[in-house]
Amino acid sequence: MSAVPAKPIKEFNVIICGVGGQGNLLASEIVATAAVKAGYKSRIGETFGAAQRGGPVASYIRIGSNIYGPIVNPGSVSLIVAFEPMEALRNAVRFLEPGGMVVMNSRPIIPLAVSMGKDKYPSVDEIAQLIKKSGAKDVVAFDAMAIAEKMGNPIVMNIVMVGALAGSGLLPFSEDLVREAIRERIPSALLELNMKAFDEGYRASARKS
Amino acid sequence: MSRRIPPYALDKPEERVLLLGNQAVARGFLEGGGQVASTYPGTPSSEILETVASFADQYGIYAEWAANEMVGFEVAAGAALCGLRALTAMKHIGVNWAMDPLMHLIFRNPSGGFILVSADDPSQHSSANEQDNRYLARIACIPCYEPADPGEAKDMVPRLFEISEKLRLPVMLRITTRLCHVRGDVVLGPINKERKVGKMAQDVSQKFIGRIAGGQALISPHKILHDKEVVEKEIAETFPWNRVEAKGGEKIGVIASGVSYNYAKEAIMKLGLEGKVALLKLSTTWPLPEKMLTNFISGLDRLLIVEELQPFVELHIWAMAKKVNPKLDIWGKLDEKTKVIPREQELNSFIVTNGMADFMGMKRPEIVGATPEVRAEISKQITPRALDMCAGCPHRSTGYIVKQALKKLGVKDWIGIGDIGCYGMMGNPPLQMIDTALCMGASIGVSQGCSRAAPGTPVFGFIGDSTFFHAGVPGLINAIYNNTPVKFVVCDNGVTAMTGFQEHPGTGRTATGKPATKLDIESVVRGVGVKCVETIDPYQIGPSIEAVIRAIKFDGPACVISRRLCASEAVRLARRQGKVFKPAYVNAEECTGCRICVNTYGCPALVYNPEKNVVIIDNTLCMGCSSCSQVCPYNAIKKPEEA
Repeated sequence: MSAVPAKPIKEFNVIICGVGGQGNLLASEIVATAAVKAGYKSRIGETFGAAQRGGPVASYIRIGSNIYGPIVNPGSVSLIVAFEPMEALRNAVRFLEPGGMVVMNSRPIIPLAVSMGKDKYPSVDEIAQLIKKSGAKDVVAFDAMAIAEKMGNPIVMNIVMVGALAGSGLLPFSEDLVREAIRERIPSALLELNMKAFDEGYRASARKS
Repeated sequence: MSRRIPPYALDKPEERVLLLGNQAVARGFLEGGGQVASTYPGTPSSEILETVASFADQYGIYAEWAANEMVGFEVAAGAALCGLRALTAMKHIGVNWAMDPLMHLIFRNPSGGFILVSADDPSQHSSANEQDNRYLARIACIPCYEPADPGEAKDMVPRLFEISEKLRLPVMLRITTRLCHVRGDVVLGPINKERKVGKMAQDVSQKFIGRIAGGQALISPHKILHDKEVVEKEIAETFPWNRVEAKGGEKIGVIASGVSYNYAKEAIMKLGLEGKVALLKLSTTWPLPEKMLTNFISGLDRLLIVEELQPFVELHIWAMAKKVNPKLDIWGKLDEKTKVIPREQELNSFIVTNGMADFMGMKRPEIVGATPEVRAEISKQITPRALDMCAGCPHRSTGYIVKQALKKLGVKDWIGIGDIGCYGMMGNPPLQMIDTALCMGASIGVSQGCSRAAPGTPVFGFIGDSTFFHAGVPGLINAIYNNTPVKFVVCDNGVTAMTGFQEHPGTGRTATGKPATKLDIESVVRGVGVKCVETIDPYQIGPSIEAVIRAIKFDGPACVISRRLCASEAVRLARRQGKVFKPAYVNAEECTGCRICVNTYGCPALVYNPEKNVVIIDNTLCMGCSSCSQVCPYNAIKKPEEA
């Protein structure tokens, strides 16, 4: 591991968000491990909440020399990677910096109250428009779940999105370090599948952004 | 599958790795030569024991899940009384359980280092209250230490073992959610591999010291405890994680404790106050380093104190200032006139920056980007997403079954008391089976009081399997003894689910994955004298409703044990074995769009499509439990095997 950062930065904030059960924690751990490998000081604030699935979850990944606390400030996040469209909007409106970027899985998870007719869930296009209205310059939306399903395992959607994060081109370190972190964290039997998921996600967001 | 050694278990001093705060505490235990760890899981503390358990066999450590926090504390206390280094780690509320043994261990002079980790939860991310446990350290007259980040937490633990041994007193490591569940870069230290066999020290054992001191002792044990405080204060004065960041001569100061230091530091940078205000980083919140603090405040005109929850440090600073600097203008949260830091909810850089700007008489930094009006307008269109039981959750079916049983009996008025676990969400629409809940095990006791207050009204106590073993049994004994006709529903999903699927006395496995005696709940409830015991499978709706009706009709206390493995755990296990669940399926021709399934059962995998007026099943969520197919009055939902 290099002790000195390749490129000194004061503060770089990313949010990885989604719905509990989508693999948010593993994704943020991989990205942060890569940041530490690159020699950066990092802090990641996470939502463990109750272990059950279904609620909104967000990991705040903070990298740089001016980083102390684990929580991001409003309007300070450069990149939001969302596993679910509404969660992208929920975080963008509060935390995205003007001109920031949002990469999102376009497959919604509809809350029960919507099916019961008590709440409304806008279309993904409407959500993307609202995200732009909150100040995003780029909104990249693609069906990461479809990619994962095509690969035979919906569970790797989170790694597809980690690939999309790397493909955004905004990370201050090489995506090879992210690959290295995946290799360290994923059991060998599932490694090939996950590396493929990463590459698919990388291509999907690099093509669109 | 090959498993790599996780970073917290690496025997590589000087290696810089990413650790979760709780993993860092566990790593500190390893580096500090800890030998025994015992506790009950509770968010945000659970990963501490999980991590210790993961390397326990490798490093000759004993780690266990205890039946509850009180027992966990006592197990660790026993090891410390025999001279070993021991740790117990629990959420803030868990410490309430451990208070009784703590209030006695403080007089027993354990010779082994003893660390009580209290994981407080400001903002109640996963707790029913946000109590500030620094007060409990104060009540027990034990020192309390608050690290600012995972690295400090790791380095502090070995030092705290030494302090505890020097004092012959348990010490509290007080951490909060934003330490427990923060990942940060940590530099590993050497692992202490020295292992001792325990022995009760002569100056601990009654065999040698005679009568354990009470009111008649020559020297009051309370006095001994207070004398230790003098040493504690000296330790605090030179504690390596307390420091003053100042160039000298500043007239404005800030004191920040624990994780609040990070927010104060960022606020100072954000407001451009570097070199203008002095910052005192405080990690010994009880007892306070009086000399260090009086030195710091005596030269100041104005002071801001930043700490989470109660004004614990602040109160003592007010008292100190009276002696050394009575004119000091103190801001924080104690005095309404100078209150700029909230007493409720967790802090963050944003809140502290605004508070510090107010304190300095500066303009609060503007939020860049969209105007507040635009943000407010957008926020109106954000769909709320409530926590809910998972797709296939057996608790949902249990709640549905009890509700249908009441409906069949024509009962409109009943009382449901919940407990601490996922089944508490039975209170949410559409089930709405639970009126209220208190603490661990309280469903059993509170329901009995409700039954006495409202005779004739059916009263239910819903309790989980792990919670039943934790705190349910004495309450149940009370119901039998006093013949209180409450219907207890044990929601047995085979795992401590809400805190992250930990083992418990009913799972048949220990914390380190070894086979264990599997306690069965039927034997326990029959053993304490429950005459009516009905065991149901909540995925079999029809027969289960009949069983619940029998329990309701029974004259006296009755127990329904609703047994089915947690759906999340079932999915996890299946995944590990390479199995795939087949989802249920809706025949669109037969679906009338009535939404009875959504409105009475409410599984999140059931999604209503308004354009087509049908319900569809989200295949990525459904795990094929087939309960919904038994709920649909038109048989439009097909079981996975029929799909």
